[in-house]
Amino acid sequence: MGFLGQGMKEAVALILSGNPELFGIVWVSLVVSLSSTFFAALAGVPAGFFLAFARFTGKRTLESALTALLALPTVVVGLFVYAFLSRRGVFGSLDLLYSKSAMVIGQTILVFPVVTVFTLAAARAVDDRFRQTALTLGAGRFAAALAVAREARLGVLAAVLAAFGRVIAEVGVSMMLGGNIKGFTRTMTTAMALEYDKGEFVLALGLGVVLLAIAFFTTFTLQFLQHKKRA
Amino acid sequence: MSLFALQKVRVVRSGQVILDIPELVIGRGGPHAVLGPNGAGKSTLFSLLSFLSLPDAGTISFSGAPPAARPAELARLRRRVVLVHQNPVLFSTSVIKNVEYGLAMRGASKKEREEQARAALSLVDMEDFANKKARALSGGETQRVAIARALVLAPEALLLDEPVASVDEKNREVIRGLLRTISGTTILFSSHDASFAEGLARSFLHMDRGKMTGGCLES
Repeated sequence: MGFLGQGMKEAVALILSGNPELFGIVWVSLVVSLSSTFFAALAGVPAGFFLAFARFTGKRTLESALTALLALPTVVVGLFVYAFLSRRGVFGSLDLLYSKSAMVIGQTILVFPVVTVFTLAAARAVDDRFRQTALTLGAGRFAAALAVAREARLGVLAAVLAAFGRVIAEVGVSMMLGGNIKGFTRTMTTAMALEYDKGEFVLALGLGVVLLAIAFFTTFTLQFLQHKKRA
Repeated sequence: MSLFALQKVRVVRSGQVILDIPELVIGRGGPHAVLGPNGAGKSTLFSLLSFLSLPDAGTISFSGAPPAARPAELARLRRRVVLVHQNPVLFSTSVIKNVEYGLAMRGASKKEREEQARAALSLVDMEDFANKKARALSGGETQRVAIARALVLAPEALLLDEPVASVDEKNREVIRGLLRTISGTTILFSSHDASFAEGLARSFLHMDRGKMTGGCLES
């Protein structure tokens, strides 16, 4: 306990001193995670609404597949994207491996199902009378879908926050596609793994505290939104 | 001339016939009342008449036009008939934006929308609530705003599904008074409470278990 207590004390001091290395790592994490969440939302939110309203063959199978992908291990995504981006891969010539772009691609793929499935659930949770009311008031199918989307907006926001929570805390994609390069692709989770290997607990604990703070903030925001939705 | 003409209409759910109407003609004017207990098929009938759903068999023609089946045709008809659901929902915005919604769908200008929406709210005695959050209203107030939202569109037919099913006595009387005064629109309402329709409706149709059991809505 004394070891942990001492480590925490030094970690907090490191945070309060505004340590440039620590905050550089936090910055990279935020840039990569926010970017991948943005792109996943850009594709996943419309995909979720499309699934909620469109009728086509194989829809149920697609929904099942996306739901199964919610539990996709990060290292599997890392491995597959690596196969595409490595020198011998289809997109090897783009020279993206071990860059922030590669991490963003991997993380976007990782959380696309999260945003899509949660958006679908949010759209389905909206009482069908909203869609019918929009239609009877003269809306077309697209405008009626927009009316439903408006009612589902808190659920959609929760979907996006859940996706952010997943990417900010993941390590597999960041390690395999970013390479943990200091000052460039080193994120909070990859840095913590490295510092642990080196036996440097202070920086690892400092990053852990920041990561926990972000995770708590995301969770509390999610709970607040869910509470507001129920109210 | 009739407004609606139904021929051999059937609706089947889970293998069970929930609505079976061999022939029904609904005339212009009204108010017309469709009476029956819960589960009589009133809401299913109103859903068909508002072109929100199609029957599994049979035809419904509106204002003498051939029966519609294609989405575009149904969408056009929906601009002429408006349904106010039993326990209607209001969008999560202000009261006035709710009333403006249908006008916006018809491309009305902002000024026109606001003027007409305020006039419609005044009809249901809700003009003071224009800028309030719609979801904060009581059941009776919600019902009145929903009626204003439909009336503002001046539809050829206004369908009210159980308009007083979950409102208090005061709102019930306001709605009753309103239905008496509306002109230029054919009003059709459903109710499981015959006392509400008495002295208000000019014609009655009785339903039970998806079938017509008496009455006529032609006049």
